[in-house]
Amino acid sequence: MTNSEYAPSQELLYLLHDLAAETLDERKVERLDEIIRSDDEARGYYILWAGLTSDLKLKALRDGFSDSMSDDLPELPKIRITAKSTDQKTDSSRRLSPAERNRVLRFTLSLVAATMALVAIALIPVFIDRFWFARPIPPQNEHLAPIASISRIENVSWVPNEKTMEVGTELKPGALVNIIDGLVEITFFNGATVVLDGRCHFKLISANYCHLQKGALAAHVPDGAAGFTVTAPGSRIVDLGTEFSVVVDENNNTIAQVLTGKVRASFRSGSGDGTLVTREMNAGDAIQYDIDISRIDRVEFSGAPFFKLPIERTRFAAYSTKAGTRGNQKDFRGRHGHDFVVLSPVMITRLGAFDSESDGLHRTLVVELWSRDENDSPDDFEDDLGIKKLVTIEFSPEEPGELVMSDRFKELADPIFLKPGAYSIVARGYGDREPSGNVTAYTDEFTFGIGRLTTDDGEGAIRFVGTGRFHGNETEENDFPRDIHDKQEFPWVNPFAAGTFEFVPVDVKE
Amino acid sequence: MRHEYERSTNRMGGREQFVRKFVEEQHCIHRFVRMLVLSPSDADDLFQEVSVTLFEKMDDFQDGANFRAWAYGIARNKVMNYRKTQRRNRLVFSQESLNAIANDEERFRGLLDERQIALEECLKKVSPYQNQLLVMRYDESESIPQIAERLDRSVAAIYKALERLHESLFDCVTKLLAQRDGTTT
Repeated sequence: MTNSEYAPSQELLYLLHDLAAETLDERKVERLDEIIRSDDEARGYYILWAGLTSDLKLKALRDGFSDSMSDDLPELPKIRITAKSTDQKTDSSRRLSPAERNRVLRFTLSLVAATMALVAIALIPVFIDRFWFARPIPPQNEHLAPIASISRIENVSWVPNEKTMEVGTELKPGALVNIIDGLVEITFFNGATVVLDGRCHFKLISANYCHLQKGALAAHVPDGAAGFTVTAPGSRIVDLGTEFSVVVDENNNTIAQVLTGKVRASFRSGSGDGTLVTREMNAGDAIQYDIDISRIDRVEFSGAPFFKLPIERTRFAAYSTKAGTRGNQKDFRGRHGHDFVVLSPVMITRLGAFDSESDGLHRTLVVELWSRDENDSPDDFEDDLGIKKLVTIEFSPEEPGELVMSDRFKELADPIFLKPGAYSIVARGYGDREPSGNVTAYTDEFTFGIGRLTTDDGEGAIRFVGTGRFHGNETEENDFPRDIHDKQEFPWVNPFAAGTFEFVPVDVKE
Repeated sequence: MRHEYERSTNRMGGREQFVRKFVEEQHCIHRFVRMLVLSPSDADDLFQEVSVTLFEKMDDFQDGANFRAWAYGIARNKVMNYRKTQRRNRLVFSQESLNAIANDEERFRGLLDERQIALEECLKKVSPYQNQLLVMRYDESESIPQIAERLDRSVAAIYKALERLHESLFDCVTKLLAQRDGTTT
């Protein structure tokens, strides 16, 4: 697998942020070590993360993030580097300041340049465009061995200007098969067979791994090729000895069904680095994955290797929290609010509340939908007032509602129609045992990343505004929270994992 | 006389090869050290030591030899020695983790190189404020409290801003490569 498929745990992310910030203590190092030692994928993620910080550091040394900085550099400390070269031990008694260290590193690099000039002047033209951390050349596939070949073609229309293929054409890692119509069968050299049907955009990644960006495929995987993997946008199907089909529609939604045997299907629970939700599917199972809202639904098994279900996306979750997210505010029992503006009419169908760790509720939470008075200053949120509480829903440990990623949802008895205007969603009741999430809160224990939170504006029906509002008073039920975050310091429109809602854009005929 | 000339020529060829290899591999060497050492500043120090040692041993390098294996071996030894000096403060990886990371690194090397290229694209998208943070954190190696003081912000705000910046760059790189590979979401 490629590591980009891996979604790190929240804990690992916290530790990596602490690593980048140089705030790891012994306990955190021990924990990071434990994770890296025991979890291969986490270790891979760590390696990529360390790569990023190394790349940033080396870019700083090579180009600098500020052109003006390099002009101000004092003369390089040649004496110190000479001393270092004769004494190979790391001596903390003569540690350099950060600025000195940078200069020494730059000097180390220029030392290479000087040496190069001395020993190989003739080579300079060769190196000139590659010198100092020359950009590596991406791997090319022309030197790689073929991994599959085309075994059948029927009535195929190739995409204009794309490479056409014939039976027997050998395919190497990275090969694209892009067709408008017809049927193409590809036989991998490990015995797996993939049949593409209709308009398809398909890529071979490795001997046991391929990607379907668009279209429909059916795969037959013999025992010897178990583990054969098909990825699609936001999803991954790993064969466990089977025949299965995958369809990726125009909206990048995926439908997977198992014809015989079984597969392990994983779906990204949110955009970017969201965690994966994994389902084992057996013969006769069919699953539809809606990538935009990260929703997985069982659908009717068609029985045919190729099928296509109409997918119509209608419901949107305004604020979402990635699955398994742990809250970081156990001491705040007040109100958390997010402001939004309805641009075109919507129907609110469900309210939702963040469930820390997605493990059920341990306190009773209350979520309120408010209409909001912008006080004639739509860009100033400090003077806003709550006009009316439009609806309130209670989420209790006994009746927590349906879990979607890390949020619990409950249907409104009567959906609420919102015309264009200003509104807020407010949640209260969080605290010990059921903490809320707050990206602006910095605690010694751990922090909460904005990467855990996403928003969905329903294709432009609403706009998220403000910087989050709050109020520490938990007793006065009718308070509209009026404290807001400083925009300069905390610019996020969705800083909390707390209240949310589901909505449907509504067409209104004039 | 001819023998001397050949030896000298061979040495020069070995040096040329060495320099060529060093230029190609220095980024990987830094990255390798960085992932084995938790303290960024110590990693920089060690990279410097490794570079100097490599140059000192330049004449030992045989033309056609596996430079990477040689350089990584030296880097690994440096890290192990460093680890011994750091045992007391316990801010180091266990031997088991170090071995696992070092062994896995090769598997990710191609991807890491691709990510480095993609990062250049992603850096074009950072805001002026984020660029200012990069200057302070990476050009000037300022600590978070120092940045907070200079910008008259809270330590928490800078911590969060850098957290967000790192995360967005990481995600941007991942998405860019996924789009290029046709595995976009």
